[in-house]
Amino acid sequence: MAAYGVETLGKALDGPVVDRRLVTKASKLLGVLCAALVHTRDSRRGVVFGVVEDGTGASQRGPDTEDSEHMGVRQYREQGGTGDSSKRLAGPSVHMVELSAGEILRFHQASGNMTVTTPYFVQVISPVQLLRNQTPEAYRCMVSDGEKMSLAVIPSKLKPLVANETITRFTILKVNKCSVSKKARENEPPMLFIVIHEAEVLETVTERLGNPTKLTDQDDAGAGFEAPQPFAAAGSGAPMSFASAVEPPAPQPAYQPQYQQQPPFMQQQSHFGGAQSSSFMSRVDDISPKYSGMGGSAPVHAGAPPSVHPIADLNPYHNKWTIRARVTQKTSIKSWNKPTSQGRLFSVTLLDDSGEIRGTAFTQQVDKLFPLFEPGKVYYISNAQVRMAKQQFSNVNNQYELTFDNNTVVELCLEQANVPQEHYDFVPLSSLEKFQKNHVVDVLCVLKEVAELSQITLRTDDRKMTKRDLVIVDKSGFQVRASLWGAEAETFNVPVEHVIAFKGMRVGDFGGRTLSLPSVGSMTVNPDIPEAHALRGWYDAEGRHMSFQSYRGAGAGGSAGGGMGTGENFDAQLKTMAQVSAENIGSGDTAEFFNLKGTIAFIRSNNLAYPSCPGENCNKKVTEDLSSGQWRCEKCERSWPAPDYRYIFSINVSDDTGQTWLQCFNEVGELVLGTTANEMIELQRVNEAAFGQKIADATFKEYWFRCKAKSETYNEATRVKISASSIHPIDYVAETARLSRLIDSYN
Amino acid sequence: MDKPTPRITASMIQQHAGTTVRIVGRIVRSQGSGFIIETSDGNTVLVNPTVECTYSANFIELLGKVQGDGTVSGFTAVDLSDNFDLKAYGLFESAAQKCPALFA
Repeated sequence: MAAYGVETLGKALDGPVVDRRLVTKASKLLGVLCAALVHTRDSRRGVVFGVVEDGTGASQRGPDTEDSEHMGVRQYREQGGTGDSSKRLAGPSVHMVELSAGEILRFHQASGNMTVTTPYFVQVISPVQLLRNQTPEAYRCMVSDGEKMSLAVIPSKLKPLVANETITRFTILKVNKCSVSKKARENEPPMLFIVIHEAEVLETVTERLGNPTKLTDQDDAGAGFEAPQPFAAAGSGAPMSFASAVEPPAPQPAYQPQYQQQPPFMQQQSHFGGAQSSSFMSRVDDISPKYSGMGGSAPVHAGAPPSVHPIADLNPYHNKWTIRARVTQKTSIKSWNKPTSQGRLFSVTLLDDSGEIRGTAFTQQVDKLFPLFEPGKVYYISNAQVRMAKQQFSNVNNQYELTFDNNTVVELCLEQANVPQEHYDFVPLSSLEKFQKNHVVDVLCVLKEVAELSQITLRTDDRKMTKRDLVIVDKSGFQVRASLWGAEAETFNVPVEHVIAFKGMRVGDFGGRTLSLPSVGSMTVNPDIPEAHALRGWYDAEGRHMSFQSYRGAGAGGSAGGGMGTGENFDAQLKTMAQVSAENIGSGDTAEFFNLKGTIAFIRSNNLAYPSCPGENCNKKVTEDLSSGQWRCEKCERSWPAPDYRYIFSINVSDDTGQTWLQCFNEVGELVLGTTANEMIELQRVNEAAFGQKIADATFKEYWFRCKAKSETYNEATRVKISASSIHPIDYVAETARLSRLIDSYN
Repeated sequence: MDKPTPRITASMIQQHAGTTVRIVGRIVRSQGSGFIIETSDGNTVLVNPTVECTYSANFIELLGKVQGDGTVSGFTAVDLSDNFDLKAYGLFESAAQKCPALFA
């Protein structure tokens, strides 16, 4: 029956033309009555599939086996009766779901790949299965339009719908956006597959609608497939508009993309036809994002430029495309040397109207492509691999990234103008508070101060890096410390008061909020964009004389009193004593830094300091040799007449929520007690009362504490020990402002 | 102080006519036998100090009685040194105004 159906279908397609669309539309409007009309017509069948539910809740659908002309077509039947299928259906609720018959065939017959954005209806007819070797997970299934079936891919975006079985076998989908591609196969016609980007689930029924068949050779060419006027441009033939643009399509194999495809439209309201075809030509130059199509594979662009694909539409299921984009960033060649692999790579960031994407060239392509790409220039790029992006290496906002391989074609585009220069999403400095650490932002600012180049040893892996700190300000009235690294820091030569646009700055919480420019970020001085001019104007008028708010807070590391400075956001890391105990700070593997505001309630003064080696850079404890009166340091292997005492004592600090013990070392000790350890030890020896008085004087003073909490194991006991890295007397003005904000937030 | 003395700013003078109030502000200049004080909201009040009311700093806290004509007769003043942030104090005042029970 199926074979006969196919044959009949073939004949039917050759038969007299009926405006099938009108039929289906009318049938929708008038209900089943039109099914009767269709039935009496000769060659067309309405592909109206319905599920009728009567009061009993049973769904009824009967195959019209007697109706040989309507092979495989199910029509309405009266409840329980076998009667004439032309009779109306009575019944309370009728779900009419109409699959878009012929759609899949049309996809198949169209040459090249395309993106379809007009909705059409298909049914999932196979179980939905996981697609192998895909991360994130994607699914595959067969879909049918009632007549033909095709492989479809459901990408990870729609995964939840599959997981909770909203999309399952026999689900009817309204596909709002998809890409249709053909995968070339050896010795076989190319395989059609549809990647469903956006779809709505209409309902899930219990069986397959219609009698869809697989696409075969006979479905190719499609010369006989007549579509009503609106679809003339949809690609089965060779409308004249295509001819001048590119070569007319070869009859087969269909998978060689040669020209543009208009996305086929189901609805009447599509504006196809002549009007579209002619405007098609003029759109070849455009990169309007909704315009999608196949890239030309011809390498020469001396003539009309090939049609381009918007970057935002790139996906791994589509591998024949061309993009036209500007290189906004190009990294230097980096090499890696692991035991398992070595190689070199460089990356570029590509930008067009629709979005950004990162592209990387490895080993072999590095030499070929590195000289080709120049930052700021626009290129046509095609035939690179689209892969999932490795987010850790890139801050580009795209889930995919490109890998340039041997087949990748890169050409300079002669027309540089149409592509945007650089896409910024500027964030005012005042709102940095709301971004978490490691968030990436763009900032437009005026350079206020530049520090000297400094050397930093990274705490994590002991690498040495050069760094330069800047202070930047903007219209929001805030100033922030920004750090540059490596080459950027070394070659920095921007005069103060110039406007700088930073892209891809990382937010840090180093005592508040700081910004840092990673290697993937970029910096443009005095960019020629309207926002920069506006900022310059503001600075000249007001900004120069303004005093800026800074993110207050503490720096890590215990330089005496200086560690806690201005310019960082203190609040973000400020905790109350209650929070310290509640959050189990420091119980993890790494040390945690935070800030406290509290009063010294008690100073444990029995062992205030230890004798330390006076040698340079050596703070090891020295032992007294009682016979000689010398103090010996084992590390330096020498003796000293007198030690250098260094503070080490604990203080109990309280605030209104609780209390905690902090350990103080020499720098903090000197600030707390106001005198050196040597003096205190001497005083303790000589005048105990005065010693006690000094301790008492230091007690009950209020400070900001910069704290470091760390888990330490000592004799089998693991405890969290908190030390005071630095302290700072309270700036009451700032504190008032902070408390006032806090009060306001309670209201 | 045996009775509550609300802390007010210059703009609130009229509401407190006849009552004893506290005003914290900056001394702008002398005027006749008295002086002009500027409060955190930027407005000013004319103060006529009594004999016991002495001051030597730029910022003071004044205790006085509001006269019918909008001037204040100053009873005593407390020096607040010259290192005083009036704006920060203003923040406190507006917060205090919201909780009169705490600051009566």
